[in-house]
Amino acid sequence: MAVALGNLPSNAPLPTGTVGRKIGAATGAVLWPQAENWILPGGGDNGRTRVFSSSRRFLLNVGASIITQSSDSSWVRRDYKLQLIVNGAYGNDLNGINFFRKANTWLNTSSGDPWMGCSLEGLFYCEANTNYEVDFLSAYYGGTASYFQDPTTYTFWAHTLGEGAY
Amino acid sequence: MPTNLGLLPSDKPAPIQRVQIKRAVGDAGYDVTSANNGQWLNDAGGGWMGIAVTPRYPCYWLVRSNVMAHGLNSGNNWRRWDHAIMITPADADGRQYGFVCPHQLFDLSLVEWRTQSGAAMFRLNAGTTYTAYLQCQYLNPNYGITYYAGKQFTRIVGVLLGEGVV
Repeated sequence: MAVALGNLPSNAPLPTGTVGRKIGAATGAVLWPQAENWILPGGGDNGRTRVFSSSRRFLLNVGASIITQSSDSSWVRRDYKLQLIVNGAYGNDLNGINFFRKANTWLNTSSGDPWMGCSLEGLFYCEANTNYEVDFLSAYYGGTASYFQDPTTYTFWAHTLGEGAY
Repeated sequence: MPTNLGLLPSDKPAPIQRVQIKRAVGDAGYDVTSANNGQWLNDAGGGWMGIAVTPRYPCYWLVRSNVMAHGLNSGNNWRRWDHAIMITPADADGRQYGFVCPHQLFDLSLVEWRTQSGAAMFRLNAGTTYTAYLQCQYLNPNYGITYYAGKQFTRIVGVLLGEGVV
């Protein structure tokens, strides 16, 4: 349901999008975790967004960009996903969606420089007056691989979109 | 042209979250060696792959990239080429690098075009003009690659978020 500008409360900021982000806070390669564990930014922080909530329905746009590598001599697949948390527990959005997942397949290159960029984003349709968070998690696990924690190679972000317009 | 809030119609939602997009203008491949490290990506129209904003309020800037490339026949081996999402001047956190995205490429005679995408989120001050751009960040010495500047394949997209609520 769209909310006309004249009906917005005058004692609250315009709904211009609430933002959460995590940037790599360390410098170094980290072994790819087992499925259902966080892909971490480093620096002691976790892999979960802040809480997003609104008095109106909204879309939650969430994404993650990292770089990964394998030390195996064959092709390796590792997946990651962005999993929705509703009022403190894993749950569905209004479309029945609870995660977005990406499969990554790469090779240990003999050049000794096998890093590759991986990027994923999705949109959750969220109910009003409900608390939402998103976890950045390892999914499928196979072979030996790692990701790199650094401000230039780890970005995990989320923002609200279309508040009051749906 | 921006419109003052008081002049906006009160029976419509607020216009928020301005978007900037730069697609490659023409269609051309550009050969790259390590000598090109640090150079902007061409737009195949005499310009460069960059977007600019001057925020009216403190805000976040989500910038996404999409770049397609293949290896040159220059070694029959895998090689790493990175494109980077950069910002100038440095953002409110002092960051110039948004995301460095490695491509895993091989000689074209064996492996075809591959596309990589990435995302960065910068924090901006009001009243400063910022330019985000795509840069040839890194290539292994002794190898070559080609990136393609085509409007369907190469782009940089930005969206302003959280204006006035950061």
